[in-house]
Amino acid sequence: MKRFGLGLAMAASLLFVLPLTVGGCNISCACSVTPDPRWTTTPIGTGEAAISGAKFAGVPSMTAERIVGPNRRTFYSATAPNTIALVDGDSGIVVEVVLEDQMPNDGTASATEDSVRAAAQAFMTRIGMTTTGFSESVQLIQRAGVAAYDIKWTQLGTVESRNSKSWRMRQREPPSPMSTFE
Amino acid sequence: MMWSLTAPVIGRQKASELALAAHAVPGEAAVSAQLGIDFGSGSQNSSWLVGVGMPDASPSGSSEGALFSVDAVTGKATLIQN
Repeated sequence: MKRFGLGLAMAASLLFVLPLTVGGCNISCACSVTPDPRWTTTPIGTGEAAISGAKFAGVPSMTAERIVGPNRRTFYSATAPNTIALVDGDSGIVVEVVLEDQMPNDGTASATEDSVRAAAQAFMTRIGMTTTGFSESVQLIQRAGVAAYDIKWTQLGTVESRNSKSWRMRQREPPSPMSTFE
Repeated sequence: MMWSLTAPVIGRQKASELALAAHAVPGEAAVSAQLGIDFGSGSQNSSWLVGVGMPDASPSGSSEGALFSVDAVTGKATLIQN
């Protein structure tokens, strides 16, 4: 478990500079990664993947199974009722969390931009990330009959590109309070 | 490092509506909906498996008449079992 603790600390450090997308409370790191110079990848097992996924999803526990991920990469799919987390098996990074009960179901934006912005900030705080030093943009997107807010943080001083450091969050409405991140 | 991830955005209720609209059988209802994620194509594919059928007097209260796959990103509904 000691190795896992170290892995988590490094993951948080790397995630800080990862592009991150949160959709209806799904988080997805979908773009290029700019590795933290201190980062050393640490392959993880199913137990560690389950614990990491649960921490990000804000659920007590998850069950993980190994799957073939994008580009044949080793991933873990961690699941709990109405919750799916995808964890990169080589680095231990939680790259996506889907909270099924909080996904958009209609084309009406029921939340105000300010409340969504606050929810996004709260989410980042809960998982131990700060947006200090990043500029924030909020955009309402509509696709396939559903509406969602896309909140994006871009590191100040960088030009947005495929390799830019940015986070995104999509939120139909403020999520219910989540458990505290340990 | 490219991970080719695309987070799903369409919820269970919307996916069920899309499946029912695609089947277009009056009186039918969604009887099950399960979100799945796979990378068989090399990139993320997120889809809801939605069972639709007529409400009846069975113990579950309904019977599955058809199974649809609804893309959780685009909303495209595909009949996979009838």
